[in-house]
Amino acid sequence: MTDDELTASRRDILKTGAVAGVGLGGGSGVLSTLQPADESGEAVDQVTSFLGEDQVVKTACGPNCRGDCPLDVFVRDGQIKKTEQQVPAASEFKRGCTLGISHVQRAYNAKRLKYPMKRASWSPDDPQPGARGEDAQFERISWSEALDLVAEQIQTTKGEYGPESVYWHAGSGSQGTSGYGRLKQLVGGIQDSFVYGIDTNVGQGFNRITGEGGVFMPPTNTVEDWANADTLIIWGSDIFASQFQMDAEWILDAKRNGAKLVVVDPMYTNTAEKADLWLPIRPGKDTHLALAMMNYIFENEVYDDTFLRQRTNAPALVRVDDGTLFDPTRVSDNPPDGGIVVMNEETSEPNVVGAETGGPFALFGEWTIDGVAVRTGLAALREQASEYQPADVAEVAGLSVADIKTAADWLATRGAGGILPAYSVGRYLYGHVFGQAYATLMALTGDYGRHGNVHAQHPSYGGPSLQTGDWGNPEGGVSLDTYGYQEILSLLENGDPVQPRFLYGTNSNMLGNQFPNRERWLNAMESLDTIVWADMYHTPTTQQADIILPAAHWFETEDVLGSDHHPNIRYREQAHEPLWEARDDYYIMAGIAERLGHGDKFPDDKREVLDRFVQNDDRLSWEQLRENGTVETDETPTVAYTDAFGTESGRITVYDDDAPTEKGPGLPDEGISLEVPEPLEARTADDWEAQNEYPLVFMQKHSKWRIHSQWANVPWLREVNREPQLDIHPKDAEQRDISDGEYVLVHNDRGSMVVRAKYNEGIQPGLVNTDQGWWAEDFVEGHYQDPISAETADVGRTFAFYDCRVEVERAAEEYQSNQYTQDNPRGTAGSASGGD
Amino acid sequence: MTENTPTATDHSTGDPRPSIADTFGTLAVCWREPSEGWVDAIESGRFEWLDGVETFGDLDELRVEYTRLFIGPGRDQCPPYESVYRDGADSDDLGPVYGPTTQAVARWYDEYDLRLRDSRSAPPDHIATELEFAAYLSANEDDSVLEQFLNEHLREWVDQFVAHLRENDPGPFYRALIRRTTEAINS
Repeated sequence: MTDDELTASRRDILKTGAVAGVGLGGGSGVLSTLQPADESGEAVDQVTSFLGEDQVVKTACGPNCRGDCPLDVFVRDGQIKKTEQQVPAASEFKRGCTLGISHVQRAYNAKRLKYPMKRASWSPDDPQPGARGEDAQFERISWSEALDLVAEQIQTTKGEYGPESVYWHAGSGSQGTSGYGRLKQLVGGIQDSFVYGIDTNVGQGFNRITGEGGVFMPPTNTVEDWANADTLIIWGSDIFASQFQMDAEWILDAKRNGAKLVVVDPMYTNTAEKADLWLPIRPGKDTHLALAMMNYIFENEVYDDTFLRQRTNAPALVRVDDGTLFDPTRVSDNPPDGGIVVMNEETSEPNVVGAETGGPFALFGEWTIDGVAVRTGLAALREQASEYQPADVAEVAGLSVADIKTAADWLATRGAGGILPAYSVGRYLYGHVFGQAYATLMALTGDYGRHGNVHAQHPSYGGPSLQTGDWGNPEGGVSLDTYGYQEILSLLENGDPVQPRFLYGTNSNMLGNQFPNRERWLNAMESLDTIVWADMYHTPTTQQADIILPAAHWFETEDVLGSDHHPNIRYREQAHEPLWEARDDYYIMAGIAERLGHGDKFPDDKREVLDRFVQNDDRLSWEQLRENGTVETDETPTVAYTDAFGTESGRITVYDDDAPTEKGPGLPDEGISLEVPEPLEARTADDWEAQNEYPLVFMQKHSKWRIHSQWANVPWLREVNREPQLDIHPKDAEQRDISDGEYVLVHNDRGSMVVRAKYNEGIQPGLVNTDQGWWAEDFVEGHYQDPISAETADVGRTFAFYDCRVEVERAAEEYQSNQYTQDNPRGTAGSASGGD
Repeated sequence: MTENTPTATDHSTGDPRPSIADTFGTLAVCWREPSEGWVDAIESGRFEWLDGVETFGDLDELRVEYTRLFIGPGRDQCPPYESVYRDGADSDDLGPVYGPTTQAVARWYDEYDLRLRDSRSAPPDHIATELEFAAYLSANEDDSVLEQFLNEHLREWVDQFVAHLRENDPGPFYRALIRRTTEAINS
């Protein structure tokens, strides 16, 4: 059906309804919205059958939690009644969570976005961007009008300011076949990306010295192999609260098999509670701890010397004068690509060796070759580690010496080891150094390429999971210039190098969740003439839009989906049509495409697109998908890092001769070069300039009640998770005359929020936390993103949500009673609270 | 009112009081989203008994108000569906759409072989649709049937709905409509 048909029929109904409904006397003359069944042409079979049968619809959840859970949805009389976990074809990956089974309250939320709308004060000729905000009013418009406006604005913006003034933004909030990527390549413009900007630190540091992975979590052995681990260190992740669909059961398998579980976390979490050893580290001291563990490993000589010689550049000879690697051409006329110069202990001669080559190479020592003083890379690393004695680091990091040594000893001596870091450790400004540090630590212990090695949480399943052909890269499409989120802010503020004027946003509540220093973004976005946003719900972000497009709930769409984190292709059968006038994103994209002359690239029926995916893929058939909901992709468990590493030398560069120099707050002007891991800190440092004014480190942990900011509007969850709160140690609270449950003002020089204080002895003194995912309207005042800086470092280029210091004080008396009471636990916002 | 808007011609009794069916039918129209056709109907003069309702002001402004109060997206919205006020776990909070009471209303319609003309556009327990059905009952059934429907449905939730509405600053048109609607369903 075309948009025009849809809207024409609506318009006619309104007209006839208004006229026919007025006093036409008896019979059915009073009816306009209702009509006799014999005129409707629909089957007369809508009576609820309490004893009837449920239809079980095979579908799938789709936020960015990495669970990729298939779900069974029970539909009776055309309505969704409940959701259950669906056992996929690869049944060992059965999974699900509280959020997945609460979907009925998302689908039937009374405050879903229902119709396309435009901001009443916006018009193409007079956009009035300053009138956006909390008080903005909206007016319902037809789909036809909405899509006309979007298409016209794209065209006029391109015409007037050039293609790069059209800005496409997608978050990670929804999986599905929308055609968004296809459309933007056909239309052109610029796009944004998490890279660099959000959670790009840890993977970046790991990648720098291993050549593996990207900027997010690196490759790891798949979960079936984790039971072979002898020591697992979960570093900064509350897997048992916020990642348990994917990882928790496999970690418990390893524990049952005898693995020791170490948890490094400044908070006593659900995961810490499962640990054999919990290291309650002070915020920002993670690289210190990694170096102290290396120190123990060197001092006790429990490193894996065979691995170091064969698979790292530990034996590489490094010039003492300038820190560069000794030039292989001075040793060999024809050195292998990426070869390193090592000292052969048997011949006492330097050799050049390529990747994956072991031998009797010296790991430590100093020599003079051709008059050049050299030492090994490992010697440089050992020298660095010698500065981080466990006793010293214990003091700095708030740990016990014995615990540091135990963790290091378990990792080095108990067999196969694994470290599962989280993005959290990268939420400090210089968090990429931790990526380098743990990659180096695991190189010392030889924990790559063996059964039982783990390098990341939520492993990906390698091969392409769904054959989408050219769907993502249409013929005639252009490649868009991409700007990381941290660059986008400066584009919006300064127009440099381009000035976005039109924004299409989707799958994202960035202004409610992932954009630090929220007020700065709100101001910066005034440079946009038009903001279009598609979502299922009205979020703090759609409130800032000029045109709002209501998207369908996942259960209201048909789709075929890959899974990044388990080997199953998933099918979404449509449970029912989208409510009100919500639309599958596909049809939104198709409607815009049609108006911009790309209609031929979007079949009228989405099924045609899905059919191509299924026909493309020998593993799939519609019959199997419909019958089972999933099809297994036959991927086998893999051990990662069995071949030469992706670095120039094919080795892990425990000494990174090509290291970057990091610059930023708290660092000397000339910066710090990172050949070996160097603990760098900005605001968490003990000598941070504003440390006395703002003494408390402020984090925003992921909780089990949200996926980012989604599910915030589910009443069942809000019953137990009523309002944002500040976890604070009683000692810190009492020093500030704050009683448990009182409202507090959390503030720094950038911004503030008012929330209820919650005494929590599981959080260390000096640290406070508010869980991520609350919406602006859930706060009495302000927002948790307001005090957080949007500043990034030269190398890291990543927002540092946890690199934040605040002061906390009892909020003014007026705040102490009003917003949340026992009678109205969800606040004045009611079920408007919540989200996407 | 425009010059050539047709005026009512089928009110031949001379009785200024509209029939019950007319009352509910008229209220149903008024609770629908304001549109051009809607304006024509209001301006037909047949709504004058709805003291104050005919002065709805500017259509565009009223549409913005209607959106704010009944469609959203903001926190002021009062979704005009029965289940929202009856099927929530917590009476202080808004319940879901398509709840058990929605089904109960749909069963009433079904008894009379009535269907939503556009089943996708809104749940069947929209206040305007329930009022329209009340008009249908009063035109076609004994008073006792209408009474039963009013007791089972409109009288069970409209008070709570309009209380919520009053907290969100309705303008003169909707204030008048609230008054006339509660009078009509409680009389």
